[in-house]
Amino acid sequence: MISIFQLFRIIFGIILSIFIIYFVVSYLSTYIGIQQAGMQAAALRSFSQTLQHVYSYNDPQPFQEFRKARVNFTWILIDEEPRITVEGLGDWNLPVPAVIRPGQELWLERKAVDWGWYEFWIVTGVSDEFLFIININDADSEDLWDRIEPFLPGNRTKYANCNGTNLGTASKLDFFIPEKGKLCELRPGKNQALITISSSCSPWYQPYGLCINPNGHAYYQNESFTWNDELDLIALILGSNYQDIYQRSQGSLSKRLLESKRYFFQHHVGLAAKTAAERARKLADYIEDKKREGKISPNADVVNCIQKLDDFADLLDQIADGQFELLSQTKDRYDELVESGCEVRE
Amino acid sequence: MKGQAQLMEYIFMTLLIVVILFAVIIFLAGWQATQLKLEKTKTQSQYVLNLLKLVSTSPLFVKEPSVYDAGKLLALKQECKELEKLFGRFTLNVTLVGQELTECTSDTWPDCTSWLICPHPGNYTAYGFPAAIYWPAGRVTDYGIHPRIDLGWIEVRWYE
Repeated sequence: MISIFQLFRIIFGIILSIFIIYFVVSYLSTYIGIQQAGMQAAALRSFSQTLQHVYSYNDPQPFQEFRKARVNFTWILIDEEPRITVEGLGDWNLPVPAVIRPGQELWLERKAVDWGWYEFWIVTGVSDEFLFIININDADSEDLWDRIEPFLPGNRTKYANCNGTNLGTASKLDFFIPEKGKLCELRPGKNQALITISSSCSPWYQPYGLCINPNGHAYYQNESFTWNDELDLIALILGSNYQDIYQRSQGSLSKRLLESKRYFFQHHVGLAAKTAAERARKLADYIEDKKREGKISPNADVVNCIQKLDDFADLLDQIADGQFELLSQTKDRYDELVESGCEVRE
Repeated sequence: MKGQAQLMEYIFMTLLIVVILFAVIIFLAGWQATQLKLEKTKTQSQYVLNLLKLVSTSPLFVKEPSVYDAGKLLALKQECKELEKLFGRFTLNVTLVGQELTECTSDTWPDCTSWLICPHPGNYTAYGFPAAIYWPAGRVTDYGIHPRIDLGWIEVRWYE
C-alpha cells in the first residue's frame, strides 16, 4: 500500500516534470529559432557589407555565407524599389546598385559604364559554377556579343556554344570563343541558362531561354522587353531560367532584374547629371566673372569655355529629365571639353 | 508529524527548483538583451563606416577616390531628397583644414571653405576622415583652367 505522502510525491513529481520539460523544450525551440534568425540576419548584414566593398573598391568577391546560414533569398520590387526578400525575415533594401541572380554561393563583381563626366557602377552576381549556353546565329549577333562580353560574369562562370542539339565544351569567359551556329534546341538544366542572340528572335520564335534580338528587343517565355544598353541585357541574362514564387505576381526574374537596373540607373545617372550640369554652370559663371574683372583677356581661348560649358550643362539637363538616349552624346561633348582645356580628366 | 515534515521539505525543494529555473530564465534573457544592444551598436558603427566608404568612392561625390569635387558638393546641397533615397538619412560635413569657415553657397562659391549637405536635427553617430578637396577652377588664366587640391576633413553623420 502506498502512503498519501508517496501518492502526493508521485503526482507532484509528474506535474513538476511536465512543467520543466515544457519550459526547456519551448525555451530551446525559441532559442534555436532566434539563433537561426540571428545567423540569417548576420549573413544578410555581411552580404550588404560585401556588396558595398565590391562596389566601392572594384574588388570582386565570392560570397558563401548564405550557404552556412541556409538563407534562400529572392528578388522583389516594392513600389518600384528593388529589394531582396528572405522567407520569415522580411525584405531588405540594397545599399548599392546591384543585379544578382539569387543563390547560396555567389560571385560578385562590379561593372561600369563611363561617360567621362560620370561613371555608373553596378554590382552583378551569379551562382558559382553557373553555365551559360550561348547560341549566336548571325553577324549582327556577333557584334552584339562583343558589346556585352565585358559585362558578363567571369571567375568560375562557364560558357559553352550551342549548335542545334550539340553542346560545345564549357570554358571560362576569357577562353570562350563564340561560334556561329544553328538555332539551339537544347533545354537548359539546373544552374544553366540558354542565351540565344539572333535576328530570328521574335514573339513567334522563342527557344528554351532568353532570346535577344540585336534590333533592341528581347523575349523570355511569354514576356517581351526593349533593351537600351548592355547593362539591360546583363540584367535579363542573369535572371533567365529561374523560378520562384513571385513569378506570377511580379513577372520573371529577368523582368525584375531589368526593372531594378533601370531604377538604379535612373536615380544615380539622373542625380549625377543634375549635379554635373550645376557644376558646369558654376564653372562657366566663374570664367565669366574673371573676364568681367579683367583677370583674363576677352580674346583668350578659355573664354570659349563659357559657351561650351553652358551647352554641356543644357545637354545634361535633358539627361536629368530622363532622356537617357542622349548619354552617348555626353561622352563626346565631355571629351571636347577636355581637349579644349575647359575640363581636366581625372 | 514525520510525514508532514517530509511534505514541507518536498514543497521547499520544489519551490527552490522553480526559483532557480526562473533565475536562469532572467539571466539568459538579460544576457541576450545585452548581446542585442552590443550588436546594435556594432551594426550602427559598421553602417556609418560603410557609408563613409561609399561616399568617399562614389563618383557622385568625388573626382577620384577620397578626392571630393568642390563643384559636385555644392550642387549636391540641393539634392537631399534624392540622396536620402539612395543612401538613407545622413549628413555630410566637409571642411577645409586650417581655414576660417565660410559656408559654400551659390553666392560664395568658390571663395568658401565648408559644405554642410543634408543637415538634420537629432542624435547621430559620426565618423570623420581627412580627405582632399578638388577645385575644378582653382585658377583661371588666359591659358586655361588650372585645378587646385586642398586638404579637407570629411564627417559622415548617420541618424537612427
